[in-house]
Amino acid sequence: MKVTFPHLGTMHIFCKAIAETAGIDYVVPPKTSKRTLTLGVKNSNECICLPFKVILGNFIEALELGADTIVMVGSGPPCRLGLYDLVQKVIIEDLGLPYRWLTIPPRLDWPALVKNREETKELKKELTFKNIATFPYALWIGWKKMVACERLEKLALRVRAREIVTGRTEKMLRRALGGLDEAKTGEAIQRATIEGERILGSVDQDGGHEPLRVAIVGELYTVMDPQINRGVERKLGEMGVEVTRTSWFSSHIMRSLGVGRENRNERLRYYQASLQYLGYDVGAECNVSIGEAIVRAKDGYDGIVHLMPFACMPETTASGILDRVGRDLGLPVLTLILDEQENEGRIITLLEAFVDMLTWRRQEFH
Amino acid sequence: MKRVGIPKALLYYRFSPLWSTFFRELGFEVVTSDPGGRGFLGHQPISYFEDSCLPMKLLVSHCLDLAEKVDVLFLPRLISIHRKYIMCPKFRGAPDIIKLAAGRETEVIDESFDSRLGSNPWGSFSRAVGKRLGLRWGEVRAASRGAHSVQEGFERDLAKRINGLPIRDLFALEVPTPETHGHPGDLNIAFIGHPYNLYDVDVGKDVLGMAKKFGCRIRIADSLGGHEIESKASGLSKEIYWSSGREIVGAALAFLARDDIDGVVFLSSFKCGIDALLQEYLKRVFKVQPAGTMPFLTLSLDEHTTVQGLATRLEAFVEICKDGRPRGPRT
Repeated sequence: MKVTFPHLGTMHIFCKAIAETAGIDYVVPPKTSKRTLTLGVKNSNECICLPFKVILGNFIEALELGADTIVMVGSGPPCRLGLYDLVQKVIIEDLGLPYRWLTIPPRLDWPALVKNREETKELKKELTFKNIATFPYALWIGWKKMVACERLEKLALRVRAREIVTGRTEKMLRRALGGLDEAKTGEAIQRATIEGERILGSVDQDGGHEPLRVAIVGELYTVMDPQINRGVERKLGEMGVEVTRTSWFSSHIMRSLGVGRENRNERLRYYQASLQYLGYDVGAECNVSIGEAIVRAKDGYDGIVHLMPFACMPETTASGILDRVGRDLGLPVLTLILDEQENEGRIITLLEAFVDMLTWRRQEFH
Repeated sequence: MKRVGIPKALLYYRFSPLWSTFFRELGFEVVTSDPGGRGFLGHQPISYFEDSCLPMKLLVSHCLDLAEKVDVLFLPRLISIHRKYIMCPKFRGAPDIIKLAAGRETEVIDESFDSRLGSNPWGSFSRAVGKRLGLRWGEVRAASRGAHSVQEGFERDLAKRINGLPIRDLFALEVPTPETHGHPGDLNIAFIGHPYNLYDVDVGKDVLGMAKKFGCRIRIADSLGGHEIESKASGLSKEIYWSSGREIVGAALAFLARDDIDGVVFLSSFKCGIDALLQEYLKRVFKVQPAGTMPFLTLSLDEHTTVQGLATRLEAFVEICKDGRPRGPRT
């Protein structure tokens, strides 16, 4: 059995850690590239959202490399993510690639557990006792690594906005994450995190620079994966902007498990703020995108970057309303709709113009 | 007498008998947009408030057209029209989009309609609407029951009406349902898709009328039993949680299994999330069918679709269907 999983930000680091610790064979799909996208686009149609195409491309490339079991997070209504597996299974079958599918249930309820049991029935036969016995420990290691990755990434967001040599932070972040990737035990992860923080701290910073503050909101896949959004976060950072986002693995996992009071309260605050524009919970990140923009405006942020894949169902509603929110509150909102035909030049031009505009605004008000 | 405006868009094409009868029986004057039934495109400018699918954009235009002519707009927040399954998420935000587009002073009846809650969703919905309009419950109850039976009768007759009436009379309740008898040589073509794709002349360009001219008898999902659709849709590896999506996939699979159908046409809106995903699924299923394939045509509709373009594709498709079903899977 060789498992594989889609790419999403730094997800491969901790998914790999889980499989490695539990002693399960795995294949990390090749880094999302032009070929990945082309494979995804060729085997779907133009109005399916970008994450679908990228994930499909990841799977096809991983299956070509010898993976035979796909592990994919399940999801529920009302967004399309919940039905990815139904359609992707038929597509992969039609392509003639052998595969098995394992869905991680989004919520721990009866139908999900029954379905999980069915799917794992065959797989269990191939697992040794050791695999199963070490799995809880592997999950713990995975969680540790994920939290550590996020910690380093969050630190990098702050450092990048103040760096003197452009691109230095990114280099150091790669090195720090690389060190974390190699850590095997809980203790080693701890050490790698501290070392990572030291490496990031060693980047020369301009202490007097007061960066513009921008919040990135929108559909979680496009917000979290730099391959999909063409490094919007990094580009903004290197233009001297401090970026904030609330979409992290930990926040989404904690939300679906229903734990973490702070996280829940934050989301609730955004949801309540959105109600003055949107009278009902549309689902996915729609209300949160709108609510976060409203809350951030009150917190004194300089602007909002709203990311969404082309034809995303909930975010299309959000983009129409965000436009009005921005006008009502005097908050600049830049909506970037991403699809496979994206070229980097467009994004750079838009971001540069946006940042210039924010800089002028700030000078005018001061 | 107050005037209630019902935009001729989206699920007007499913519930118009219910909604208009309800308000008429309560003594309101019901005004619909686009009274001539000619459509908006090419006659009036379309408002682009958000970058959504064409039916959603048309909803904004219809509402803006109505807003000045009526006292109150009727645009329920449709969360779910099925006991277990939900609507597309865009429907949840539609009343808010309209309020922003039309200005906040426009009064919109935007009560939520959620069939997953309670045993009598239409009853509780009409009660909420009645309360908002300050009407007595007895009066509202009588109207809502009357309207419900009109809707039921209409749904029973819908398949006959489609084959016997031109599209502009389809939802005109004063036009009686004609008795239609097909010719023996007629092709049976199934049309699946959201009701607004099928019946809105702006979206579907009256493709049903076109098919009738080409000598087709039209079959729609409503002519199958709900049971048949449901049994097909529930056999999938994952529950489709949109009620419209279930109906589309269930009906397509049911038509595929029938011998008396010569071809299936799927009308989808460009940028419709549900259609895009399910279209991909259906395409593959029709292709890998072991028993032999059935001609399957997907028409993607947007504001640039032309009548001539559709006619060309449909005519070619009808020719393929006339040759009979090809045996064995096509490569």
